[in-house]
Amino acid sequence: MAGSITPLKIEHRSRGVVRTDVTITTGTDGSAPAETVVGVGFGRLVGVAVKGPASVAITVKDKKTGATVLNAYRPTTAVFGNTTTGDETGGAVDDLFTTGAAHGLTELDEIVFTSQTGSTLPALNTPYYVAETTGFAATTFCLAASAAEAAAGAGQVIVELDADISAATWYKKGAAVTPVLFRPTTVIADNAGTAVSAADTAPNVNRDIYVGGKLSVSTTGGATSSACTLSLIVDEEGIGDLAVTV
Amino acid sequence: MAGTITATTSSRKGKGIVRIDCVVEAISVTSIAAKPIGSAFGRLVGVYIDPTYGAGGTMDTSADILLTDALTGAPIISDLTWTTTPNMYRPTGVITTNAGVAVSAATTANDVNRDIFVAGKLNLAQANISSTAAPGLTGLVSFIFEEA
Repeated sequence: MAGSITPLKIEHRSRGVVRTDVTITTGTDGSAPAETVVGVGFGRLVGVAVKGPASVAITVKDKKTGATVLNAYRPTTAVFGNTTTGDETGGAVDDLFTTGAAHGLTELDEIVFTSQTGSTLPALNTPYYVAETTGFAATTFCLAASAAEAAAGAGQVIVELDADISAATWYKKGAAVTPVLFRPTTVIADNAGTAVSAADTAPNVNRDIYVGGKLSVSTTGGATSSACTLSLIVDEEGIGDLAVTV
Repeated sequence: MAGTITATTSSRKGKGIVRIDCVVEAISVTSIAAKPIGSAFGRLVGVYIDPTYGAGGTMDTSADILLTDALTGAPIISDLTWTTTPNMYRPTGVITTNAGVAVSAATTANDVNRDIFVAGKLNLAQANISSTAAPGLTGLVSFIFEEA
Protein backbone atom coordinates (compact mmCIF):
# COMPACT_ATOMS: atom_id res chain seq x y z
CA MET A 1 0.00 0.00 0.00
CA ALA A 2 1.38 3.40 -0.99
CA GLY A 3 2.14 6.11 1.55
CA SER A 4 0.00 9.21 1.80
CA ILE A 5 0.25 12.90 2.35
CA THR A 6 -2.65 14.57 4.11
CA PRO A 7 -2.78 18.37 4.08
CA LEU A 8 -4.59 20.57 6.61
CA LYS A 9 -5.05 24.20 5.78
CA ILE A 10 -5.45 26.74 8.56
CA GLU A 11 -6.50 30.29 7.83
CA HIS A 12 -6.73 33.07 10.35
CA ARG A 13 -8.33 36.49 10.13
CA SER A 14 -5.92 39.18 11.21
CA ARG A 15 -6.46 40.75 14.61
CA GLY A 16 -4.02 43.58 14.14
CA VAL A 17 -1.17 43.65 16.66
CA VAL A 18 -1.76 41.02 19.31
CA ARG A 19 -0.24 40.79 22.75
CA THR A 20 -0.16 37.66 24.86
CA ASP A 21 0.82 38.10 28.50
CA VAL A 22 2.05 34.99 30.26
CA THR A 23 2.59 34.62 34.00
CA ILE A 24 5.09 31.90 34.86
CA THR A 25 5.42 30.59 38.39
CA THR A 26 7.83 27.91 39.52
CA GLY A 27 6.75 25.25 41.98
CA THR A 28 7.31 25.29 45.71
CA ASP A 29 10.27 23.00 45.08
CA GLY A 30 11.59 25.11 42.20
CA SER A 31 10.27 22.70 39.59
CA ALA A 32 9.33 24.03 36.18
CA PRO A 33 5.65 24.19 35.19
CA ALA A 34 4.56 21.87 32.40
CA GLU A 35 4.72 23.10 28.80
CA THR A 36 1.54 25.11 28.26
CA VAL A 37 -0.24 26.45 25.19
CA VAL A 38 -0.55 30.22 25.72
CA GLY A 39 -2.50 31.25 22.64
CA VAL A 40 -2.16 31.60 18.91
CA GLY A 41 -0.28 33.98 16.69
CA PHE A 42 -0.38 34.39 12.92
CA GLY A 43 2.23 36.89 11.86
CA ARG A 44 5.61 38.24 12.87
CA LEU A 45 6.84 37.97 16.43
CA VAL A 46 7.99 41.57 16.75
CA GLY A 47 8.35 41.98 20.47
CA VAL A 48 9.17 40.01 23.59
CA ALA A 49 8.96 41.71 26.99
CA VAL A 50 10.13 40.04 30.18
CA LYS A 51 9.76 41.17 33.78
CA GLY A 52 10.61 39.47 37.01
CA PRO A 53 13.30 37.47 38.74
CA ALA A 54 15.62 35.47 36.55
CA SER A 55 14.11 32.30 37.89
CA VAL A 56 13.82 30.41 34.65
CA ALA A 57 14.96 30.10 31.07
CA ILE A 58 11.94 30.55 28.79
CA THR A 59 11.36 28.66 25.56
CA VAL A 60 8.53 29.39 23.14
CA LYS A 61 7.62 26.75 20.58
CA ASP A 62 5.25 26.14 17.71
CA LYS A 63 2.95 23.71 19.47
CA LYS A 64 2.14 21.64 16.43
CA THR A 65 5.74 20.77 15.49
CA GLY A 66 7.66 21.56 18.67
CA ALA A 67 10.00 23.82 16.68
CA THR A 68 11.67 26.46 18.81
CA VAL A 69 10.69 30.09 18.30
CA LEU A 70 12.32 31.68 21.36
CA ASN A 71 15.27 29.65 22.57
CA ALA A 72 15.77 29.33 26.34
CA TYR A 73 15.77 33.05 27.03
CA ARG A 74 16.90 33.97 30.53
CA PRO A 75 17.36 37.57 31.69
CA THR A 76 21.00 37.83 32.61
CA THR A 77 21.10 40.96 34.67
CA ALA A 78 20.45 39.21 37.98
CA VAL A 79 23.28 36.68 37.59
CA PHE A 80 26.17 37.30 39.98
CA GLY A 81 28.58 39.44 38.02
CA ASN A 82 31.94 38.11 39.14
CA THR A 83 33.82 34.81 39.10
CA THR A 84 32.83 31.82 41.19
CA THR A 85 34.87 28.67 41.70
CA GLY A 86 34.39 25.58 43.84
CA ASP A 87 37.07 23.77 45.85
CA GLU A 88 36.31 20.13 46.56
CA THR A 89 39.09 19.66 49.12
CA GLY A 90 42.32 21.26 50.20
CA GLY A 91 41.19 24.44 51.86
CA ALA A 92 40.20 25.16 55.42
CA VAL A 93 36.71 23.97 54.52
CA ASP A 94 35.77 21.30 51.97
CA ASP A 95 33.21 21.95 49.19
CA LEU A 96 33.81 25.67 49.46
CA PHE A 97 32.73 28.21 46.85
CA THR A 98 34.85 31.32 46.40
CA THR A 99 33.78 34.46 44.55
CA GLY A 100 35.98 37.08 42.93
CA ALA A 101 34.14 39.87 44.75
CA ALA A 102 31.79 40.07 47.71
CA HIS A 103 28.86 37.82 46.86
CA GLY A 104 26.34 39.83 48.88
CA LEU A 105 24.59 36.70 50.13
CA THR A 106 23.15 36.13 53.55
CA GLU A 107 23.24 32.77 55.30
CA LEU A 108 20.27 30.58 54.31
CA ASP A 109 19.70 32.56 51.10
CA GLU A 110 18.36 30.51 48.20
CA ILE A 111 20.48 30.48 45.06
CA VAL A 112 20.27 28.72 41.70
CA PHE A 113 23.18 27.81 39.42
CA THR A 114 22.73 28.44 35.69
CA SER A 115 26.08 26.96 34.69
CA GLN A 116 29.05 25.29 36.28
CA THR A 117 32.09 23.42 35.02
CA GLY A 118 33.70 20.55 36.85
CA SER A 119 31.46 18.80 39.32
CA THR A 120 28.27 16.76 39.19
CA LEU A 121 26.79 18.91 41.93
CA PRO A 122 25.34 21.44 42.31
CA ALA A 123 22.76 20.65 39.66
CA LEU A 124 21.69 23.44 37.36
CA ASN A 125 18.33 25.19 37.65
CA THR A 126 17.82 23.71 41.11
CA PRO A 127 17.43 25.66 44.34
CA TYR A 128 20.22 25.42 46.93
CA TYR A 129 20.74 27.24 50.19
CA VAL A 130 23.73 29.06 51.61
CA ALA A 131 24.93 27.09 54.60
CA GLU A 132 24.85 28.79 57.93
CA THR A 133 28.26 29.44 59.50
CA THR A 134 30.18 26.67 57.68
CA GLY A 135 32.47 28.34 55.12
CA PHE A 136 30.45 31.54 55.17
CA ALA A 137 32.35 34.82 54.65
CA ALA A 138 32.15 37.80 52.34
CA THR A 139 33.59 35.87 49.39
CA THR A 140 33.01 32.25 50.39
CA PHE A 141 30.10 29.96 51.10
CA CYS A 142 29.02 26.34 51.18
CA LEU A 143 25.71 24.94 50.00
CA ALA A 144 22.95 22.72 51.30
CA ALA A 145 20.11 21.11 49.38
CA SER A 146 17.39 22.46 51.63
CA ALA A 147 16.87 25.27 54.11
CA ALA A 148 16.73 22.72 56.92
CA GLU A 149 20.03 21.17 55.90
CA ALA A 150 21.60 24.63 55.61
CA ALA A 151 20.93 25.49 59.25
CA ALA A 152 23.92 25.22 61.58
CA GLY A 153 23.91 22.31 63.95
CA ALA A 154 23.77 18.54 63.98
CA GLY A 155 21.30 18.48 61.08
CA GLN A 156 23.49 20.47 58.68
CA VAL A 157 24.33 18.61 55.48
CA ILE A 158 26.75 20.30 53.07
CA VAL A 159 26.50 19.57 49.32
CA GLU A 160 29.59 17.58 48.41
CA LEU A 161 31.43 18.38 45.19
CA ASP A 162 33.02 15.46 43.37
CA ALA A 163 35.58 17.70 41.65
CA ASP A 164 36.76 21.27 41.68
CA ILE A 165 34.58 23.77 39.84
CA SER A 166 36.56 26.07 37.56
CA ALA A 167 33.72 28.46 36.77
CA ALA A 168 30.09 28.87 37.71
CA THR A 169 27.25 31.34 37.30
CA TRP A 170 24.36 31.68 39.72
CA TYR A 171 21.72 34.06 40.94
CA LYS A 172 20.02 34.69 44.23
CA LYS A 173 16.29 34.07 44.45
CA GLY A 174 14.41 37.31 44.01
CA ALA A 175 17.38 39.24 42.64
CA ALA A 176 16.13 42.30 40.82
CA VAL A 177 16.04 42.06 37.04
CA THR A 178 15.71 45.03 34.72
CA PRO A 179 12.65 44.49 32.50
CA VAL A 180 13.50 44.16 28.84
CA LEU A 181 11.74 44.51 25.50
CA PHE A 182 13.43 43.06 22.44
CA ARG A 183 12.67 42.03 18.88
CA PRO A 184 13.83 38.47 18.22
CA THR A 185 15.02 37.37 14.79
CA THR A 186 16.24 34.22 13.13
CA VAL A 187 18.88 33.54 10.49
CA ILE A 188 17.39 32.82 7.08
CA ALA A 189 18.02 29.54 5.27
CA ASP A 190 18.33 28.46 1.67
CA ASN A 191 15.68 26.27 0.09
CA ALA A 192 17.37 23.17 1.48
CA GLY A 193 17.05 24.49 5.02
CA THR A 194 20.73 25.37 5.43
CA ALA A 195 21.39 28.60 7.30
CA VAL A 196 22.77 31.40 5.15
CA SER A 197 26.06 32.67 6.50
CA ALA A 198 26.39 36.41 6.81
CA ALA A 199 28.84 37.86 4.31
CA ASP A 200 29.48 40.99 2.35
CA THR A 201 27.32 39.44 -0.32
CA ALA A 202 24.66 38.34 2.15
CA PRO A 203 24.12 40.97 4.83
CA ASN A 204 20.92 41.19 6.84
CA VAL A 205 20.49 37.46 7.29
CA ASN A 206 18.59 38.10 10.52
CA ARG A 207 14.87 38.37 9.78
CA ASP A 208 11.72 38.57 11.84
CA ILE A 209 10.28 35.26 13.02
CA TYR A 210 6.89 34.33 11.61
CA VAL A 211 4.52 32.23 13.65
CA GLY A 212 1.32 30.59 12.44
CA GLY A 213 -0.65 28.66 15.01
CA LYS A 214 -0.64 27.74 18.64
CA LEU A 215 2.33 28.77 20.73
CA SER A 216 3.53 27.00 23.84
CA VAL A 217 5.76 28.13 26.67
CA SER A 218 8.06 25.92 28.68
CA THR A 219 10.77 26.75 31.20
CA THR A 220 13.63 25.27 33.12
CA GLY A 221 13.36 24.89 36.84
CA GLY A 222 14.58 27.68 39.07
CA ALA A 223 14.17 29.25 42.45
CA THR A 224 11.20 28.17 44.53
CA SER A 225 7.86 29.88 44.01
CA SER A 226 9.25 32.57 41.74
CA ALA A 227 7.18 34.38 39.17
CA CYS A 228 7.93 36.30 36.04
CA THR A 229 5.89 37.87 33.24
CA LEU A 230 6.49 37.14 29.58
CA SER A 231 4.70 39.17 26.92
CA LEU A 232 4.66 38.18 23.26
CA ILE A 233 3.75 40.77 20.60
CA VAL A 234 2.70 39.46 17.20
CA ASP A 235 2.04 41.73 14.24
CA GLU A 236 -0.79 39.96 12.43
CA GLU A 237 -1.53 42.91 10.20
CA GLY A 238 1.84 42.99 8.49
CA ILE A 239 2.55 46.63 9.24
CA GLY A 240 6.10 46.07 8.08
CA ASP A 241 9.31 48.06 8.08
CA LEU A 242 9.27 49.98 4.83
CA ALA A 243 12.96 50.81 4.92
CA VAL A 244 14.05 47.20 5.21
CA THR A 245 12.55 44.44 3.12
CA VAL A 246 12.11 41.74 5.68
CA MET B 1 3.03 21.97 44.36
CA ALA B 2 3.84 22.28 40.67
CA GLY B 3 4.47 25.58 38.95
CA THR B 4 1.94 27.19 36.62
CA ILE B 5 1.75 29.07 33.35
CA THR B 6 -1.28 31.28 32.69
CA ALA B 7 -1.87 33.46 29.64
CA THR B 8 -4.00 36.45 28.66
CA THR B 9 -4.37 37.69 25.09
CA SER B 10 -5.20 41.24 24.09
CA SER B 11 -5.47 42.87 20.72
CA ARG B 12 -7.08 45.87 19.17
CA LYS B 13 -8.29 46.83 15.75
CA GLY B 14 -5.79 49.24 14.31
CA LYS B 15 -6.61 52.94 14.30
CA GLY B 16 -4.14 53.95 11.62
CA ILE B 17 -1.68 56.63 12.71
CA VAL B 18 -2.12 57.52 16.37
CA ARG B 19 -0.56 60.44 18.17
CA ILE B 20 -0.29 60.76 21.94
CA ASP B 21 0.66 64.22 23.19
CA CYS B 22 2.08 64.44 26.69
CA VAL B 23 2.46 67.80 28.37
CA VAL B 24 5.12 67.55 31.03
CA GLU B 25 5.27 69.99 33.91
CA ALA B 26 8.11 69.73 36.39
CA ILE B 27 6.92 70.56 39.88
CA SER B 28 9.61 68.78 41.81
CA VAL B 29 13.27 69.23 41.02
CA THR B 30 13.87 65.51 41.04
CA SER B 31 11.50 63.38 39.04
CA ILE B 32 7.99 62.63 37.89
CA ALA B 33 6.80 59.11 38.64
CA ALA B 34 5.53 56.95 35.80
CA LYS B 35 2.07 57.96 34.63
CA PRO B 36 -0.20 56.05 32.23
CA ILE B 37 -0.51 57.86 28.90
CA GLY B 38 -2.76 55.47 27.01
CA SER B 39 -2.20 52.42 24.90
CA ALA B 40 -1.02 51.60 21.40
CA PHE B 41 -0.76 48.51 19.24
CA GLY B 42 1.78 49.00 16.49
CA ARG B 43 5.13 50.61 15.68
CA LEU B 44 6.49 53.66 17.46
CA VAL B 45 7.56 55.70 14.45
CA GLY B 46 8.02 59.18 15.83
CA VAL B 47 9.01 61.07 18.95
CA TYR B 48 8.45 64.83 18.80
CA ILE B 49 9.80 67.02 21.58
CA ASP B 50 9.21 70.69 22.32
CA PRO B 51 11.05 71.84 25.45
CA THR B 52 9.60 75.35 25.13
CA TYR B 53 5.95 74.30 25.08
CA GLY B 54 3.52 75.68 27.59
CA ALA B 55 3.38 78.61 29.97
CA GLY B 56 6.30 77.48 32.09
CA GLY B 57 10.00 77.89 31.51
CA THR B 58 11.98 75.80 29.01
CA MET B 59 12.30 72.21 30.18
CA ASP B 60 15.59 71.32 31.85
CA THR B 61 17.94 69.69 29.35
CA SER B 62 19.21 67.21 31.93
CA ALA B 63 15.76 65.69 32.40
CA ASP B 64 15.23 62.14 31.11
CA ILE B 65 12.18 60.99 29.15
CA LEU B 66 11.32 57.40 30.07
CA LEU B 67 8.62 55.57 28.11
CA THR B 68 7.91 52.05 29.39
CA ASP B 69 5.55 49.16 28.79
CA ALA B 70 3.09 49.47 31.67
CA LEU B 71 2.72 45.77 32.45
CA THR B 72 6.35 44.73 32.50
CA GLY B 73 8.15 48.05 33.02
CA ALA B 74 10.36 47.24 30.03
CA PRO B 75 11.96 50.42 28.69
CA ILE B 76 10.90 51.58 25.23
CA ILE B 77 12.42 55.06 25.12
CA SER B 78 15.16 56.22 27.47
CA ASP B 79 15.90 59.70 26.16
CA LEU B 80 18.43 61.28 28.46
CA THR B 81 18.26 64.79 27.01
CA TRP B 82 15.58 67.37 26.39
CA THR B 83 17.17 69.62 23.81
CA THR B 84 16.81 73.41 23.99
CA THR B 85 14.82 73.59 20.75
CA PRO B 86 12.09 71.38 19.26
CA ASN B 87 13.27 68.20 17.62
CA MET B 88 11.98 64.86 16.37
CA TYR B 89 13.35 61.41 15.71
CA ARG B 90 12.32 57.92 14.78
CA PRO B 91 13.39 55.58 17.59
CA THR B 92 14.61 52.06 16.90
CA GLY B 93 15.90 49.09 18.81
CA VAL B 94 18.66 46.62 18.04
CA ILE B 95 17.36 43.23 16.99
CA THR B 96 18.35 40.07 18.86
CA THR B 97 18.79 36.40 18.09
CA ASN B 98 16.04 34.01 19.08
CA ALA B 99 17.84 33.58 22.40
CA GLY B 100 17.55 37.29 23.14
CA VAL B 101 21.20 38.18 22.44
CA ALA B 102 21.66 41.49 20.64
CA VAL B 103 22.95 41.21 17.07
CA SER B 104 26.11 43.26 16.65
CA ALA B 105 26.18 45.57 13.69
CA ALA B 106 28.75 44.56 11.08
CA THR B 107 29.30 44.77 7.38
CA THR B 108 27.52 41.42 7.29
CA ALA B 109 24.79 42.56 9.63
CA ASN B 110 23.81 46.10 8.86
CA ASP B 111 20.35 47.44 9.51
CA VAL B 112 20.25 45.84 12.96
CA ASN B 113 18.18 48.80 14.14
CA ARG B 114 14.50 48.15 13.57
CA ASP B 115 11.27 49.86 14.56
CA ILE B 116 9.99 49.23 18.07
CA PHE B 117 6.61 47.54 18.39
CA VAL B 118 4.37 48.21 21.35
CA ALA B 119 1.15 46.49 22.34
CA GLY B 120 -0.76 47.66 25.37
CA LYS B 121 -0.68 50.36 27.98
CA LEU B 122 2.23 52.75 28.18
CA ASN B 123 3.72 54.78 31.03
CA LEU B 124 5.76 57.97 30.85
CA ALA B 125 8.14 59.16 33.54
CA GLN B 126 10.70 61.89 33.88
CA ALA B 127 13.86 61.76 35.93
CA ASN B 128 17.05 63.66 36.71
CA ILE B 129 15.64 67.14 36.60
CA SER B 130 18.46 69.43 37.70
CA SER B 131 18.28 70.47 41.32
CA THR B 132 19.06 74.02 40.27
CA ALA B 133 16.10 74.23 37.90
CA ALA B 134 13.05 76.10 39.17
CA PRO B 135 9.71 74.28 39.43
CA GLY B 136 7.11 75.09 36.80
CA LEU B 137 9.13 74.02 33.75
CA THR B 138 6.93 72.72 30.94
CA GLY B 139 7.50 70.83 27.74
CA LEU B 140 5.69 68.62 25.26
CA VAL B 141 6.62 65.15 24.12
CA SER B 142 4.50 63.49 21.46
CA PHE B 143 4.57 59.86 20.38
CA ILE B 144 3.39 58.71 16.98
CA PHE B 145 2.37 55.12 16.42
CA GLU B 146 1.54 53.35 13.22
CA GLU B 147 -1.23 50.89 13.97
CA ALA B 148 -2.75 48.62 11.39
